[in-house]
Parts: sequence; C-alpha cells; structure tokens
Amino acid sequence: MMNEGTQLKLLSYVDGELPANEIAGIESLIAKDAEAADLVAELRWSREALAGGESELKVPESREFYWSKISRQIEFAEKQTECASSLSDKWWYKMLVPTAGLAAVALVFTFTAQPPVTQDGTGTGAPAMVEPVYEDANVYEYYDEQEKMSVIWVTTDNTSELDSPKRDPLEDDDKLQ
Amino acid sequence: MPSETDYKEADDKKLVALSKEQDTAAFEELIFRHRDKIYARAFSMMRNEDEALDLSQEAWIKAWQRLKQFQGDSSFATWMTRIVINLCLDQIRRQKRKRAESIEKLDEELGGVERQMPVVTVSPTAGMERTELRKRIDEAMQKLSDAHRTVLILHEFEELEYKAIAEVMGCSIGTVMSRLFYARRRLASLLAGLKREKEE
Repeated sequence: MMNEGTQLKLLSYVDGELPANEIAGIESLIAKDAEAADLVAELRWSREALAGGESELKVPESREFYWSKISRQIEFAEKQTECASSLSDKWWYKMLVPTAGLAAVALVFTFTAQPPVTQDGTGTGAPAMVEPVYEDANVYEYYDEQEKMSVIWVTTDNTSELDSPKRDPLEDDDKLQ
Repeated sequence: MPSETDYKEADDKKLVALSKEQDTAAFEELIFRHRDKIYARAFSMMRNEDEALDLSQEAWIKAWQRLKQFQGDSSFATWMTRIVINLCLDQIRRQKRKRAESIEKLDEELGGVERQMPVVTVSPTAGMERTELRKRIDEAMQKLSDAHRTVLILHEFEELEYKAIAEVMGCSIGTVMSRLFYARRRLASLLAGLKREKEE
C-alpha cells in the first residue's frame, strides 16, 4: 500500500499543484503502478463530478422581504454606531471612563485595606494576626489593632515538622496487614 | 439620483461605487443579483436552511459596513462569497466548540478509514444527468464532516488553491491536502454507495 506522502503527491498532481521537478517522477509511478493509476482516476472524476455538481438554490424569501430584513438591521446597526460616536464626542463622556476606572480602583483599595470589623462594632477586628515571618527560622509577627503596634518574636524551640523523624508512608499499610 | 432602470442596467462596479456613497437602492440591486449564490454557498456549508438564511443576511450587513474596504481586486461576487464563507466557518467553529468532534480529529490523525478504502474504479456518476448528479452530490456532501465539506467547497466550487484554502481555514497546507484527499475519497465511496442503493 502506498504511503500518505505519495497519495498526497498524486492529489497535488491531479490538482496541478505538484512542483514541476516532481511531475516526471509521479508520472512514471502512475505508468507502472496500477494502484496509483486507479487512485489518480478516482481523484480526477470526483473532482470533475463536483465541478458541475453544486446545487442551484434560491433564497426562500421574496426580494422585498429579504431586503427589508437586511435594511432594518443595517439601520439598527447604524443608529447604534451613531449613538456610540455621539456619546464619545461629549467631553463629559470622555472623562467618564478614566474617572470610573479611578473610582473602581479606589473602591477596591478601600475594601481590601479595611481591617475586619468585630461584632461590637469597635472596628478592631484583630483576629490575632499572628503569622510566621520566616517559616524556617521560627520568627513570628503579631499586629495588635488596638495598640496599633507590631510585635516580632523568635522562638527558641528548634524542632519543627521538617526536623521530626520521617514517617514511612507505608507504615500504616503494614499495620493493616 | 439614478432611476430604477439605471440600477438594473448598471454593472456591479457602478453599483458598488454608489453603495459606497450610502445609496441603499444600489446595494439592494447588488443583493438581488447575488443573493441566491450567497445563500447557496451558506447552505452548502451549513446544510441547514435557517442557518444559511441568517448567515447570508449577516454577510450582506457586514458587506455594507465594510464596503469601503472593498478595493475591487476581485469581483464583488467573490468578495461577498469570502464574507459568507468566513461567517460560516466562524459558526462551524462555535458549534464545534459545543460538541467535541474528537472522532473526526482522530480519523485525520490516524489517516482515517479513507486511506484503506479500495479505489472506486468505475465512475459512479458516469452517464448521469446533471439534475441527478447534483442530487447525488448533495446527498453525499451532507454525509461529510464539516472540515471535509468545507475544503471541498473551497477547492472545487470556489476554485481556491491549497495555499488560499489554508489561509481561509486557518490551517497548514499539509492539513488542507490531507483533508482534501480524504474528502474526495469519501465522496467517491459515498457516491458509489448511493449508486448501488439505487440499482438494488
């Protein structure tokens, strides 16, 4: 059986798109290989059949109705464009977009920077904002909203999860057996 | 303002020039002249009357909006056909995204069943009348995948070269050739099958 490369060369030969320097080679293949010759014949007639085989369809609507639908949509699209362009010409509209953008940024900043509010409404949330500054060094930071101050401390306990002896992941399985 | 007769007698070039000056009557005349071809092309690609109608109308609206871009390098009909083909391709792509067409892709990657198909040695359309031939081809085209049908339409009906088809379809020339090869083989096999069915 022919490989795909040869098949595609036969196709481009039929379509007149095979490079000139390859034509002689393909023609000699067609002359001596019946399979290649049959394939070329099939590709040729399927092409020829299609050449005159397109259905002649007609728009299933009257000229007036078809045009009326198109013209309505053209008018609608033009009105929208006019409306958009007349708006964009106004000085206040030109200012509106950057102003709205700034307002949005300000809003986001306000909400994200706001400390959480407690139930009594004092606004000091302080959900014990304790967080390790450097996880490996056991350094912790604490920020107190009421006192408005940060406390940083370093623990003396050097044992951490990383230092603890490794557990064999298969250990539990072994126990089950 | 030209009269109705003037529009009818004017050539496409003149009508396009008038349309560019927002003359809707000239544009209506252009639609009247080419609407069947544009609709037929949309139908060939979509195989659905409603979709073909919607897309052909959308094509005319796009054409009106982009008339200034039409420089007259090709005929107006060719330019219009490209617009409707592009709209159909977009629609097919949207539909494809909805339903995964993995089988077709797989077929193409593996070489498809068409590679192993025996060659049809006797033309199944030989001696057939034009109307009958069109009907048979229409039935066979309906059974092809979107990709195979599109490549056949662009190559055989639009007479585009491989390179141009690759540009329109947004794929490589190799893919175009591969699709065209399988599409032709499948079409041959389908037509042979239809002939057998009719004879039995």
